[in-house]
Amino acid sequence: MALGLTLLCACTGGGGSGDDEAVPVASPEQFDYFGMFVNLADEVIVPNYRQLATNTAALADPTGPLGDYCAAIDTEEEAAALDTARLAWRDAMGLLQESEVHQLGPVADENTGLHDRLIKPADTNFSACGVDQSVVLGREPDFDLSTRLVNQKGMGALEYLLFNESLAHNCPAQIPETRDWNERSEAQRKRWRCDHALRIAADVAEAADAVLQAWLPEGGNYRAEFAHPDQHEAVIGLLSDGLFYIESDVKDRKLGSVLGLHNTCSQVACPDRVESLWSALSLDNIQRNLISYRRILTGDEGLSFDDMIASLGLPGIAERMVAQVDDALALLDTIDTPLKIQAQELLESGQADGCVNSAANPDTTQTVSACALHGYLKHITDTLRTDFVTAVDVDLPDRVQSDND
Amino acid sequence: MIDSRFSHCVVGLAAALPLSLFAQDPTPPAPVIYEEVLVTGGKVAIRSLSGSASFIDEEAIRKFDATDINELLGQVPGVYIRFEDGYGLRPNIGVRGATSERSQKITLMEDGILIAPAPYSAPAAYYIPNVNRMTAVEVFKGASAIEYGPHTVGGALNMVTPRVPEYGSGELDLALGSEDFRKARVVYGDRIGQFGINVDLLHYGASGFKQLDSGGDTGFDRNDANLRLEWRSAEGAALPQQMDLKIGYADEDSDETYLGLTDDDFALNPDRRYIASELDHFTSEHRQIHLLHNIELSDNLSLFTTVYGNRFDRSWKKYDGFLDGQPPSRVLAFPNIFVNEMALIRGEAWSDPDDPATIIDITNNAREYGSQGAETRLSLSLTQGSLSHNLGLGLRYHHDYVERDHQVYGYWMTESGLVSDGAGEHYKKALNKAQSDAWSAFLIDEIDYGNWKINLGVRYESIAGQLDDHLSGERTGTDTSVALPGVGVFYQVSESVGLLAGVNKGFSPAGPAAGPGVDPEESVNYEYGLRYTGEALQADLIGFFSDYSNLLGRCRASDSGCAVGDEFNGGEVEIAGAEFTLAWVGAFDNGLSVPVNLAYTFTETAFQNSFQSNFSQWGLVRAGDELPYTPEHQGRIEAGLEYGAWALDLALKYIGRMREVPGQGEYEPRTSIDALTTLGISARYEMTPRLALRLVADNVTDERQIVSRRPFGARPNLPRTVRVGLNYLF
Repeated sequence: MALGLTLLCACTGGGGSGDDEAVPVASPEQFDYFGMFVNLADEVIVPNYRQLATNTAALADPTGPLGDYCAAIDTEEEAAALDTARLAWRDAMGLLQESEVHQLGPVADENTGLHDRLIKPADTNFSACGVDQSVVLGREPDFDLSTRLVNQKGMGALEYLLFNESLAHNCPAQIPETRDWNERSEAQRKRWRCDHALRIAADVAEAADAVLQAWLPEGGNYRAEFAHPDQHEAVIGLLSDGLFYIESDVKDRKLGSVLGLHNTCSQVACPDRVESLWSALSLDNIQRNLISYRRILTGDEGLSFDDMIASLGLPGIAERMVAQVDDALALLDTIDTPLKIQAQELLESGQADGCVNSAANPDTTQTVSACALHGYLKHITDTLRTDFVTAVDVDLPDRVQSDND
Repeated sequence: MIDSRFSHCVVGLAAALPLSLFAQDPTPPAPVIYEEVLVTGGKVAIRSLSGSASFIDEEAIRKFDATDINELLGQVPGVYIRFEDGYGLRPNIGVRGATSERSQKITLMEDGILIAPAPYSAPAAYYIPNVNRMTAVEVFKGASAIEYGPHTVGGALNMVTPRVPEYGSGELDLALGSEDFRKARVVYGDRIGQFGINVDLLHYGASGFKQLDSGGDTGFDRNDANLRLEWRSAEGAALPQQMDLKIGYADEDSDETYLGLTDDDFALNPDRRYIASELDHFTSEHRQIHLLHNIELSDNLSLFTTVYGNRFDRSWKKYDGFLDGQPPSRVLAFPNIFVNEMALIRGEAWSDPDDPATIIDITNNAREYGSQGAETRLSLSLTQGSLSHNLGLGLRYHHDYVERDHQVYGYWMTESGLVSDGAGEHYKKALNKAQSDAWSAFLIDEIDYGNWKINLGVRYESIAGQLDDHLSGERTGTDTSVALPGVGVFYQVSESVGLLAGVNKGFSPAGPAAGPGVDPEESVNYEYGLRYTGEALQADLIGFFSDYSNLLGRCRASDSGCAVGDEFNGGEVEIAGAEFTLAWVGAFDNGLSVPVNLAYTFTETAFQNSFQSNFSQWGLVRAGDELPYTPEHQGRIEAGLEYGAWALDLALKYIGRMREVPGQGEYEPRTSIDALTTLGISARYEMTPRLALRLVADNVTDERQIVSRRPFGARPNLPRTVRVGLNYLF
């Protein structure tokens, strides 16, 4: 037995193809669109929502890391508990950022407002004062979080409550709820903020669970609608629209607008526009966005756009798209300076040239790493706008059609 | 090797006048020229074969009253089975990793004659002889398979029918069992002088263990009638010869389906059958006439000739999805996506007469197969000193065909079950005829020199195939010629120990329906190992490695997205493994005997290329993916107690976890089959030397499991079944 097995050890071997590389197919008619949708639903989208629901539920749990922090305020364990709570928020935020690239189906249904309960709409400004008011109002037994505006809830509000080092309120003097806020003790202000954080976390967890249930067969079974072959064309459109989050939100809003590379910032840089201002995790958010983009593009080990494009006889496009996102991810791994710091330095220098050059030539010039990242993102979006939409035969989403940079 | 098939060799001279054929010679019986067509040479001869072979004798067949060849082949290492209906009605047998689908990659024979309905034109074997009436089953692989084609990638399987007895004798075998299982077999043979006759009648069936939602039948009935006429030359004949004429008829009537269950429904009741399959019905008729003739031209020269004709007609009307919409395999695999379709299949929703996506497709796959041919084998033995050559030269002409007429009918799902939509015949999914003409020849030389036995051989196949598609009006053809060499060596190291090694080219032709870009399946097969033959103990350890340059996938009616008979290239594949068998008999002074038999197979498989295939059984394949339905581990151990008139045997069988689609790494529950362990028990008591009673129990612990999700949904293994029987010799 040992002789036979020894001789046969490693006798069979696979080829050198990576697990997520596109595989060749003879013709487009052979491509398994149904398999692609099932793969994306079962291996990418639903697992992401499932993990998000799990993490946000843990965050909202009074016996979880956030509750532990609330209980540890004004004790020796406070600092460590705060770090743990912040880490839990960071993990949940990372999952949410991944889900932003597949904003379709239940989470995008404006009637339910689920997305806005998870994270405020991109086109609204966060209201720190509104959160400060809610912290105080939340002490009342009849307080109803659902009546608060979306820019005072969600993971952004949680970030403000957990990462903001200043305990001072951000409201005008005439706001009655916060008039005596700064006179309260540090401990009391921390506890009140933490209590409100738990309320917000509960709302986020409820919304995340609702999104998950909407996909599951025992719930809304959106998976059936998503994967059904009758919806093939529509779903391809929804998925490709989701991919364009990389352009409108990541490249333009999260980077371009901060670094003065987008017309929404008229200065050399606009550091106050940074996402995740208090946690300094904006580049982490971008990294998670790109990881999710890559997963949607490649389907991990299963079928997805790269295989679909290869079936059209255009494997080079798929390979290029994967290589482009890998370039961006590789650069992100090397960036240590937070985006806000880089933007502040740019603004203080008054010089845009370094950033512009880095953005234009990211392979050779990375003077300002965040700007070079913007350059890599532009490579991605240029391919999306041209080769990808042509190959996949979809239209540009409305929100990016006017972009002409 | 050929000479060893024959038990006796009689040398003599006789006038070959026609009158002599009718000479009456009442006593004693004419000398035996050959008893059975054993391609391996028999249980003893295989111990010195240079290739791997297994021999299942009559005792092993009778021990568990085998009617399902799938179960019987669990005793043979290197054989992989994909279970389907639980009774083995249409076996899926693969050898050394070659696909097991309808046993299409192995050469199936009865008494050395091709017996699959159309092995060249349509290799999927919807007919296989009933194993219960056989006296032996031989399985051989590697270089041993050079003489037998066309499918040599895996190996060959030969089923051996009973010979005419030397004296008038008969046998009655009756059995009753679970699910109304019944079996009756009567065999009687006798001789008058140079002539002999043997009649073998078999009937068996069951009401079926599946439970139709509508309460209909799910069982089967099989009949098998065989007549064997034998003539031998008289004693002292100048040219001893023997002629056998076999005439056989077999039919089947079964309420079988391709429709399985969703995984969730299977968990609730593995024996459930959805109402959408209530009309499913399979009927078939098989007719055969085989003429075998052997003549001893001299002491060392013989000629064995067969002429054969087989006809097989089958009609299988069964659920095949909906008139429009999703293929049933996809619906059953994703019931939560295809909610409406599943409701219709379960009879929880009704059809909309105006919506073809809700109208049940019941297709009658009617096919007529035919095969005929003639083969002659010349055997010559030459000896010079300690060197001997056993030469064999064979030539065969074979023609086979299949005519397919697949007709679609529409049925509404209603409150009272399936009702015809009244539209009669909708359309035909297939209307074609495929036929093949094949010339094949082989030349082998078994060289014996001292402790060495060397087998050199080459097989040549020339195949011309043609497909006439009456729906498209197109005719396509294929022409293939190939030489398949092989060499095997056996070295007797000592009285007990022998070493063997061999390499041969494996081949399975692309059928007539294959497109121009489809290549035949080709491999280079290596095997090497050790044999131990002791007084009470025999053991074999054989490693194998099959290097496929192109694996072929073949579309069947149960595959979606392709036409029946379409073939697909699978590229390079490597299959490697090891087979271990052990047979030991412990004999004690008090007369107690303890036989133990063990067979174990380890297998590794890997696609070498990445590709996307329209063949539903492959789909997306990445280099390194394992082949489906090839477990890494499988084994069977049988232990018995024999004492006087009593015998008790226990057989524990294990089939390891396997994939249902190509893949690697962790097994996905939805696309893999869990490991299955079953226990069988057989007890026999010989009341008299003529009368024996038998109790057989399969799957004693009633392990229930999904054994396949093909063709359309989860299918269970056979539940615990008990059969009692008697065997009377007269």
